Amino acid sequence: MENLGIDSKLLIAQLVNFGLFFYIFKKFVAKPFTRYIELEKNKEIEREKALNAAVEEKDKLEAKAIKLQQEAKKEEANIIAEAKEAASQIKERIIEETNQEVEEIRQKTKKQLEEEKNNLYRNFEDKVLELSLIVVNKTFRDVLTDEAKKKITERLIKSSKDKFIVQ
Amino acid sequence: MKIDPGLKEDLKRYLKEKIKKESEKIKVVSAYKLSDQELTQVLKKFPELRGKDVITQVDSNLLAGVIIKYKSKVIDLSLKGRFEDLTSTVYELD
Repeated sequence: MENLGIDSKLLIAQLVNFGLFFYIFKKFVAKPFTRYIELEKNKEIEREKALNAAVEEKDKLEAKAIKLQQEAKKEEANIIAEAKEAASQIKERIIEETNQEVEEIRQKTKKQLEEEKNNLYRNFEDKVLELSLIVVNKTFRDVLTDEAKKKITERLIKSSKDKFIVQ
Repeated sequence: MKIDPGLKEDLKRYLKEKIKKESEKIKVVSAYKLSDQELTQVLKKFPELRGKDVITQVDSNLLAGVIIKYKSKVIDLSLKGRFEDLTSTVYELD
């Protein structure tokens, strides 16, 4: 061994040194260190779990938000549809009422026109009658001779059935 | 001025009699002046008017015939009256 340049005493001392170092390291360094590592590992695991839970919760909330959004959209669409339906009904009702009113006005106007037309006809007839009377009067006045007047007078008196009541 | 009541009464009586006499008169309105004969014929038609006073009047608007008025009654025997009756009848027909 000495030929190889290895000092046995040194080697043994190194070995003892290493043994001691190993023992001390294991007792006073490795354990707390390992414990610390374990703690950190556990902490990491806990954090991982918390993160997963948070992610899960976030996913749930997102899903809920999406669901609520969809429901809100559905509700909105329903409300719009109902409003359109109501507006359409109101529009139809207004149109119907307007048509009725128009028809009533038309009938009333027609009746009025008819009445006015009849009145005009009546007035016209009255005027024609009046005019005819005037023409006949004038004609008779111009045409009747004294002889004719006498004959007519005689005839009128003869045909009279009237009487006077004398008290 | 005070009026004698007796005179007032006489005046009243006189006026009443005058009005009565006027109302007792017969008024004959004709389209032309009637002769006595024609007038007699007219009055012959209404014997109830015998003995009454007659006033005549001419109104050419009557065209022909006569209108006799006695008190409140009027008998229209004129041609104009006949035309008016005809007009009324035609009006009524409408």
